[in-house]
Amino acid sequence: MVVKGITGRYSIARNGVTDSFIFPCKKISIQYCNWGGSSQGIRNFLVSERLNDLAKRYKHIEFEIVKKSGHPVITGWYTNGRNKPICVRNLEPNEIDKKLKLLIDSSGDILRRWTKNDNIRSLNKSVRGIWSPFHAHDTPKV
Amino acid sequence: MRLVRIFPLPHLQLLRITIPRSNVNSYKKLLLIQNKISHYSTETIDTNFTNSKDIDSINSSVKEFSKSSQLLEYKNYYQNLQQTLRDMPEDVCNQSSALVTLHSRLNLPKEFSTSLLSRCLTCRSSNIPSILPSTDTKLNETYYSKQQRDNYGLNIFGKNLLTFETVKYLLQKYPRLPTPVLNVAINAYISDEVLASIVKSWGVETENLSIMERFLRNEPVNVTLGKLRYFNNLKKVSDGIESISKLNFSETAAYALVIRSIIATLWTFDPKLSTKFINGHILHGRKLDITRLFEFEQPTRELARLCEREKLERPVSRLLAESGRLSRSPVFIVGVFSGEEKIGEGFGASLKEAKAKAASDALMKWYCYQPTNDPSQSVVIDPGTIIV
Repeated sequence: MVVKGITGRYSIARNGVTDSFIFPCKKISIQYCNWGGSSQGIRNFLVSERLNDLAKRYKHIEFEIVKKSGHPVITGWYTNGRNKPICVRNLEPNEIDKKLKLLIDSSGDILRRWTKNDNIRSLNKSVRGIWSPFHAHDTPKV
Repeated sequence: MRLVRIFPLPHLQLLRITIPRSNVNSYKKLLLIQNKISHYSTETIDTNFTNSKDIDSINSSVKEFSKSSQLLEYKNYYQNLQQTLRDMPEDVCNQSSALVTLHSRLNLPKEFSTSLLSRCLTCRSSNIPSILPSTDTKLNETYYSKQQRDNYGLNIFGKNLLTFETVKYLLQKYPRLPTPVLNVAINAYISDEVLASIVKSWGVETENLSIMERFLRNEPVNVTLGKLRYFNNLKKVSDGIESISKLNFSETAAYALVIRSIIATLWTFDPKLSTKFINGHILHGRKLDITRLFEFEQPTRELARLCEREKLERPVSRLLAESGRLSRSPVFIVGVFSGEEKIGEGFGASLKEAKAKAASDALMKWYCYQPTNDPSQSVVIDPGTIIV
């Protein structure tokens, strides 16, 4: 037999193609200070029902509350192994809610500025194929 | 030399008193306390003693240490942990936030309890030794509880299920795939590396803290239930991993055990569930370009044999187009024809290269043939390998 298999090539993950989608944000830790004035907003946030509602809505996210002196920080932990900390000093509960939404909706990837013509990224080959001058005259005429 | 066991904690088998029998008056004692509280700092306390009073003081301090409240607390913590890992009670598992969130992230069915999920995260190599009864004087002997729940058996069953589903999927999709390429393709879907990367992408973490560290942090026992335990956490992380890698077992292998045992557990509820899980996470959920796994040694010859066997006309290569034959970058387009029908096409910087590529293209189209889902179409039965 002359055909051989090339080893060391693995299948590539494409999360979300099937219905078994894994949510990227796995954990959110909320760090607050019990004394500092910059934590007033997050203390109000924590005593309200907002966090309970969030935890009920996003059952796949682990919420962790850390008491530590200093400015309050909320951190998102993602399945790609990265994390995203946001300082929420002097923020109102509503604004903290927005920041949490941002963490939940993030993929955890580095923020990149995509160029104008780089909007489509795909693992699949182009359906039309690549234009070739050698085959240009073969295109069927309607 | 005489070794005296002072107290029976197996991992604190470190308090040794060595008494040379030759000279009773000049006892030299080597008190090796690997740790009093911190498990990591290995200190050797070398002390010279001149009279027997010192021995008494040492003995009393040893007794004090073994009775100290912190040690007792640690002993309780250890026993509690061991009990929890052996029984994995449902209520304790449900308190583990990492475990519960992992369960909902994977969208597992309700009958798949968190206790079962925690079992899937427990490898046999993580078994922690039991505490010996104090009457036992043998120093290095520890015995291991065989009742601890682990994923050993689930993994074996899961591996078989996974291989079956993968082979079925590949052969249904590509019925003419040659055996070497089929083996490579199976590996590309279900090798340990791939499975480990899938489990990592679920956000499963390994338990890297030693039991002593966890005790000092006042960490609840349920936290460890949501992590992958694959080495005995009595040792330092590096030591634990080293002793496991000697047994040909790695972190990657441990991660792979998790997904296989989850598949096996799902099968026990409903075989359809495990099939759906495999398709979603491993087969349909991932992309593999099968054409990149082929390597042809003699494509033109193999194609000629194939045409002969399939009673097609002998393949003939013809130049279709060319550009810059005398330049430094010529391009040739060669088509390979069987009779009137073009069965393959290739390009290259030389006629030879283009011809080989055209033959490879024709062979690829044969091997990677995909039947349609149309039930009226007869089933493709591969006549076997092409003998060159």
